[in-house]
Amino acid sequence: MSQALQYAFSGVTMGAIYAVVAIGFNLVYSTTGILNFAQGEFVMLGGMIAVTYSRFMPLPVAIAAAVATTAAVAALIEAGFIRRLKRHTLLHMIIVTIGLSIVIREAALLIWDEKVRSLPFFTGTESSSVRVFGAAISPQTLWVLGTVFAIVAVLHVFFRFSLKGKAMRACSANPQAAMLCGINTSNMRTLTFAVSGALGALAGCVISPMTMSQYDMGTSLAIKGFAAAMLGGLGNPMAGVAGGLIVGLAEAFSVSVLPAAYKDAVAFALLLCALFVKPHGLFPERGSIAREA
Amino acid sequence: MRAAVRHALPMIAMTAGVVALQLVISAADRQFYMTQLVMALYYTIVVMGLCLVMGYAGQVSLGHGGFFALGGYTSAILTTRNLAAHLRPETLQTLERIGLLWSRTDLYGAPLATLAPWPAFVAALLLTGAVALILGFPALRLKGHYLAMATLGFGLIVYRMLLGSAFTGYADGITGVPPWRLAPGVTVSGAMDNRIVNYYIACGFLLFVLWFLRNLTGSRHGRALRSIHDSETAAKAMGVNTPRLKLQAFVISAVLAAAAGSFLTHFNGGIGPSEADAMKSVRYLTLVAAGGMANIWGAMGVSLALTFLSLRGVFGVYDHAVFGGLLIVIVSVAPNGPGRWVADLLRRRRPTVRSSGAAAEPAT
Amino acid sequence: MNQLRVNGVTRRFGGLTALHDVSFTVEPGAIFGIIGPNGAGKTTLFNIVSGLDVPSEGEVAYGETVLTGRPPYAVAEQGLARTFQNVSVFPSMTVRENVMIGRHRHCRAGLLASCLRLPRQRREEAAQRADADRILDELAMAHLADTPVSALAFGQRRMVELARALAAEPSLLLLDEPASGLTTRETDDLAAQIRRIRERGIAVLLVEHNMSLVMDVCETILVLDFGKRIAHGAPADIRNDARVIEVYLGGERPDAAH
Repeated sequence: MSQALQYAFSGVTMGAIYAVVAIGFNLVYSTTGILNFAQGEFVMLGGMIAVTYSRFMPLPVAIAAAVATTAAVAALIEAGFIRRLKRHTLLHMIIVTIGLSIVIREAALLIWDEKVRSLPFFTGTESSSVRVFGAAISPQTLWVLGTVFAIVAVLHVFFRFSLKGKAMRACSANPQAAMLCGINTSNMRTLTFAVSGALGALAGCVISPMTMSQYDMGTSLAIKGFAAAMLGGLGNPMAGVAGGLIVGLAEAFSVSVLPAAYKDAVAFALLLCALFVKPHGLFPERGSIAREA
Repeated sequence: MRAAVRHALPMIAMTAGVVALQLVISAADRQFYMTQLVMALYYTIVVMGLCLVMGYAGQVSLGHGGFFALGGYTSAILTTRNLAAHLRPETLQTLERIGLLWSRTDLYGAPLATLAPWPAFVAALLLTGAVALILGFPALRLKGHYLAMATLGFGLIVYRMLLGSAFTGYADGITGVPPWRLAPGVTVSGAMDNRIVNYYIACGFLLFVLWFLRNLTGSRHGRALRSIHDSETAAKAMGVNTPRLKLQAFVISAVLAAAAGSFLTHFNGGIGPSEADAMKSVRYLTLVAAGGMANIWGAMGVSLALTFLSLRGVFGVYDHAVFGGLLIVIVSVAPNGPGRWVADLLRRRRPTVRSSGAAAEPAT
Repeated sequence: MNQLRVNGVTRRFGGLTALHDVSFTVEPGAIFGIIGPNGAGKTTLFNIVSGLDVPSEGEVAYGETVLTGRPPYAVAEQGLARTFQNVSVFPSMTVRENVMIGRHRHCRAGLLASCLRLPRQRREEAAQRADADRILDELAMAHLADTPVSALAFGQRRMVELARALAAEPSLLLLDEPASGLTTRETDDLAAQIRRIRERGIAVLLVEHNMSLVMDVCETILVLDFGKRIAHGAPADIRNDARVIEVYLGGERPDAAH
């Protein structure tokens, strides 16, 4: 029983991170139609930059600064590359994000080498634990869950009530109409990239004490985040949360049946299932871009 | 008749070029280039196959490293696993008589019976084709670029599984893959005295793929693929079964990658998990983009040159970064390929005489 | 020869009803026109017939075959060919290649036959090329065969699109606003062309803005307004229909949106 609870907690924790990556995917996808392959790299950058900054400043400041830096990088990617493409086909935009993810990863390798790093635990240490329903969990788990919950709540309010959030939704629903209404759609795209970068970076910071940060962690996070986004319904920002939790839990419980080396295959199997059975996800967005050919 | 000549001419020119290159290398006494050249030729076959998926079907695949590894590992496993203990002697004899099995003794004189390279090769192609079908079928039914993510995930899983399974030799991969005797005197192997023969085997394979793909792109299927690129809606309305055609192109291209993987594994005498690394797949994609997307000749030329240089270690620690950077530069500066870019530059340089009167070319 | 039956077709987009319970039949070999003001749902109806869109209710059948729910290429396989309002030719190809795409559904050589250039595939390819050239010749476009479509004027592209549709040898041809963007001369040519198509036994379903063209060539006309059928009959009846006059000549719009 407590064993199962332990799995459940670790699944929910990782699932929360996948959920954040999935939200980032969905944000960018719904406003631009791009699958941003560099999404996982934002998580890596957030963790790595925060580790570096934390040597010079207190932890909360370092994290805030890392999030801001990553958001700036993400905005630069949109404004510097994607917006300037000569051929604006989806194919070219997607290929550019693939190239960018490689360049970011290789740059990270040059800056931070191959060493595994991590931020200190926000409260307590590696060995401290909190007992929840009989399962021993790290206080960092609560930080992760709390942060992700806060992210989801803030985004919800942002989309519902703020003018910028409404403009963003308008862009995704009908870019041309939004443009006619005086919304600057290219600035909206830049903003979307920045927000998705910031989200990724924040996730990278809170998870860093538990799973460590390394230059090449982005690809597998991107895949799992994408699987989560597909499961929830691509283009629907909040549905990614459910998708992320499903992927995280499936992965955590798979360890009890499968060799640990195959853990990564679980997310992929879920992704394939989603493609086969429910290509529009569990919570399809109305009038979503993905339609059956 | 003239059409037949026009069709054959480039192939004849290519063959002449292949022979000329070999003579130059031999004359310059640079035989040690041959090993990397042969490897570059096999990798180029993967790139040419991917060109069909990206340039013609307009889909991104990040799984071609995985397909290459799948082909190579299937061949390696089937031709190294000893069946002597598992099968009865009569069965072994029968299988050997029909050429499926290959008996010999190992280093210590113990009986060793493995599948012959030919059936292993066929098994590799069939397995890879089936996997590509399973991956591509759901992803290509959907509008958009789902195939890119599905294949990226596939490549990642193959890589992790290869690294984590005893069956595939963990990080060491599989060694001791026997040479593949195609015909008397023609053997796929990395032996020093066999280098020139292997150069011609690889070139022959490359020429076959070139011929095969040019036929395809010049046929009604190639036309239909190009029509999907121009307007998928119109293509469908004219009766082109677009999901099926894309799937076919994807499967063909995956099988070509597996075939190249199988040949290279016999040439190298082994294979390691790094072949399935996501970076390998990104490289293939970069080379297709750098060749001009829907340009098989371009993909072939760029791939041969850059892969050869990379294998010679010219790019040093920046090897990955060079390919990632090249991808960004190509797509943002010269999305139609460097050839067209240079041509456009030259045209702009030349003073335009009648630019005032004539209307601009209609936008497409 | 088959009859096209559209049965109670309704199409909703969110809260908007683009088509409301539309039914009609097109007899084999007939010329049938659909007219209506902008936003009347003509193009939506066309997309539903050709399989590019799926109705929320109702169905479309051609002869014995139900078309609803089939992908567009399967609809084309039944002998329906269409053109597009904004002309969807393949700009990267030559005129002949565009027309040869129309022949695609009549080809049998498989993918491997193409890759290996088997004799059967080469014969078929040559035959398709000859067929395409014959169609271009009939439409007086033979001299343009090797021209890339991107170099053509709009009216010529429209003719290429028509040639491509004819190359499919349809038994029902769907023309989506074929006269838009054409000069008066070109429109007259088009009317003659449509009549010639019908003489070959091909039924024509025509969506049009240009009233004179529709009145000129069609035998039966369906009038749509805000997704509803408001009139249906021979051109002479339509011309004298009170509601049609109201819709076209202004006056109070019938409040048909709800």
